[in-house]
Amino acid sequence: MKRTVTLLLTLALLATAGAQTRADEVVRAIIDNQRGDSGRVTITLTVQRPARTTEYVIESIGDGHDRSLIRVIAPAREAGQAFLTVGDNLWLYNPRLGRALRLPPSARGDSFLGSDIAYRDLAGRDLELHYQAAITAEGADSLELTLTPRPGAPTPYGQIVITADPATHAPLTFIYYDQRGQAVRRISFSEFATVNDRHFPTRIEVVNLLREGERTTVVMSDYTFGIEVPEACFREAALARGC
Amino acid sequence: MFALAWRNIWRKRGRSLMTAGAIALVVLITFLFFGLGTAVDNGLYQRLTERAGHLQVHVTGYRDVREFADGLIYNAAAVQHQIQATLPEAEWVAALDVPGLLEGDGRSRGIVLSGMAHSPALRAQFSDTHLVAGTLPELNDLQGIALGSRLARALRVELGDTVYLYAPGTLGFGAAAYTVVGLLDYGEASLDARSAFVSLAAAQELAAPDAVSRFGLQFPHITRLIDDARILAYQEALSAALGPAYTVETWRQVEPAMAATIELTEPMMAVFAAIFFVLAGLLVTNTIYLSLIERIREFGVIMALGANRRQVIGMVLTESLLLCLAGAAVGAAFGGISLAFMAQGFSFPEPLASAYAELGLPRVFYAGISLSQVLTVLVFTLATAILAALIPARAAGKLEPVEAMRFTA
Amino acid sequence: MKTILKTRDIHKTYRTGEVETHALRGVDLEIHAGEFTAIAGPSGSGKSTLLHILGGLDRPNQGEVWLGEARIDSLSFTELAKLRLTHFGFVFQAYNLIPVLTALENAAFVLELQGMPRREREAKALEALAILGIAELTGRRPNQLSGGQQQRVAVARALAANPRLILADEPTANLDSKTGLALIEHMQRLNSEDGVTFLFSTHDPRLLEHVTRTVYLEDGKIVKDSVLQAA
Repeated sequence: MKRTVTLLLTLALLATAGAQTRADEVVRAIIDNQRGDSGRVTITLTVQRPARTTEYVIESIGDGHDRSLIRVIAPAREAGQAFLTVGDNLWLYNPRLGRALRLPPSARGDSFLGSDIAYRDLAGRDLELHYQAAITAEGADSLELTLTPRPGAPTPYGQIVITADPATHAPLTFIYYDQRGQAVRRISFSEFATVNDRHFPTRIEVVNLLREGERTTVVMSDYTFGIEVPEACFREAALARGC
Repeated sequence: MFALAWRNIWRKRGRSLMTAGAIALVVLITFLFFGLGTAVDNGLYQRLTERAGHLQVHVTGYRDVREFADGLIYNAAAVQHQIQATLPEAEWVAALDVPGLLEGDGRSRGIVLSGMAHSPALRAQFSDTHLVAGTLPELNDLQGIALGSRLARALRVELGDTVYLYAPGTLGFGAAAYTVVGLLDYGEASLDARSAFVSLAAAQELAAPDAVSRFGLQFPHITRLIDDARILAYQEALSAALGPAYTVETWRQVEPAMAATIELTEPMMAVFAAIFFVLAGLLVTNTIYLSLIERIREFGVIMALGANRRQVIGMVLTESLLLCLAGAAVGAAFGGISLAFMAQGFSFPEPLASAYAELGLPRVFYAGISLSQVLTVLVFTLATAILAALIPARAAGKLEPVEAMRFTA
Repeated sequence: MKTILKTRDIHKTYRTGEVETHALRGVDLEIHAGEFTAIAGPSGSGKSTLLHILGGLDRPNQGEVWLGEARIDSLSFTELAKLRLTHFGFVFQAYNLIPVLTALENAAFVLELQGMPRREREAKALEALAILGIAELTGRRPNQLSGGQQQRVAVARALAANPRLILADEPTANLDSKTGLALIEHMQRLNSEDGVTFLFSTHDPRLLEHVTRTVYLEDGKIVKDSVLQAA
């Protein structure tokens, strides 16, 4: 009897551990797809507001993991600004000052170029590092995971619900909920490009669920993946000069 | 009947003096409570209206706006001209508040940069109140910046150092370098750690040409809460002149939490005072009851002679009233004298004074008391006298003359 | 002679704890205007009780009490107080006067209870004090007066209100023989010269010698009612 109980308990433990491991693997796969591979891409960022719509053209160079260099090409007023992300660190560069500012952690939630994307969304593997995942639904067309923040995680969200393609693990939607359980933001991924067996979304829509008429659209064009990106691209000097 | 009650009170001189003395003390304390409350309120009021003005002008709907650009008053110079034409007697401040990141010596902080232009009197006041080192940037200085002292310390910068401001998402240059020319003490630690001051011109160049976030208007002759209602007429006049595109709000509407705190002071003081009155009332009840027991035979005779219950109850109540009013008169006299001195200006002892400065209060206070507060003290006294005597009076009313005359203690 | 007070078969019982005392067991009595009458009897005979009932200070358990044409035995406390105030004057054995008031103010006290304004009532009080021969003592407090003077002030107080009769419960009990006699003579004069009706409850023989009618009570019943011709 005792041995049966011990066996059953061990199996149960393994099962939960297994389930956890599977959920973690799925999240990793989803983020791999989201971040694409190392390479260069041109992005058109459209920020829609009730009063006006603003369009930016941006060049982004990334290592497919947690480092990226972003430079603003258009409009002319903003051109020359650059942003370097290395892991959890982010530097802002302004051409008028010729200086880079390291973003204080308190400002990571500030919006990037006035859009619905925050600095913390730009790069890094936030969802993997700061959240605990659990698979909450499995169907033929979509796989759903619910992410809850780990204790002490620096996030304003109470919960994130992710759906992905069950076969490819390409991300479909991320819905962000605040601490009170209200949905505040939805990110939808579409128009996937397959590059080196990563399913990379070239169109991303970020919708502010609390405010009517506020959304940001990210469209990727001109992308080259799978290339070797020089280390120099991810140093402060690259902010001014590019690479 | 008054003569009878008054002389009866002093039959037991010590006891009555003690009771009247207790009432006097409570009345004195209440006067001081009210006086201090008024002083603190006036201090808060003064600081608040100096800092933010009696009236503020914003673009309509500014509270719901999220984009920096949507919350601004454009054509600021023209609007200011109009304001000054409508309210020439007001001192004014024009401010452009820019949220941004300030960097110095490798460290950075999220701050609100305020670009300000003041009328001379308000500028002098601002300088006197807040400047602790160096100078304020001049009206047309595009390079100078004054930092909150805690901010300066956090960034490890001093007078003469260069700091860099990033204000993304704004309409001007979006970034600028400044030289620290002054250090400020805002009084509150949290403000101090995230505030910096530049000239309005510099802020406009940085973030929004010819625009301001708000105008503040201060009326130099309105310094006490009692006079505050006069600003409503000014509010109406300015609203009418500027039209629906702009809102003109009073300081109460802009800082309702502060207004609520100020409104709370008087009721809070009244509650504390009421507690003291209740305690003193217990002593009064005891005194009246004792004097009743000592005179039961006398009351018996009075009732035998034909006094009805109402008259007997009246006698007891009258005694209580005269006792309490006598004490109250003495307490009020001392209270009045104390407040007369405190109205000239007083300060709290040191650790308290700094603590209050932290909360946004001045260092020198002026006490005062309003007519309604004095009347409140009177009402409390009367209520105490009547309520305290209620039980003994009813007992007196229930006496039977024959039994009372036979009473032996 | 006009009847002021009349009782018919009144009974009064007190209960103190477990003990019941039958103070009056059926008393019929008439008091007429101008009388100088005493209710006498041994202690415990009920004479104080009878006086109290006659004066509207108490109510009988049974029987009727009439003041003139009006029945007063079942009036409420407030109505009885009003009755006493307007129709009767009282003098008690002791503690008659209010210690903080002067002789004049004491004498004017009943008038004050009646609501008379100050000047008027003090004039009347002064008159009454004068009749009692103590006009010069107006400003003195009771603790500055002798026992006899205090009783005279009490009589003046009763007199000043011009009542239908004055009831006095053992008025001479605390006075020495000379003072007691003086008081009795004052009251007698008031009765014979001004027609003031007096009703006493007393066991003082000096007083009993001077009254014109004595009603003897024993064990709550009238055992003798002598009416003497005025001397």
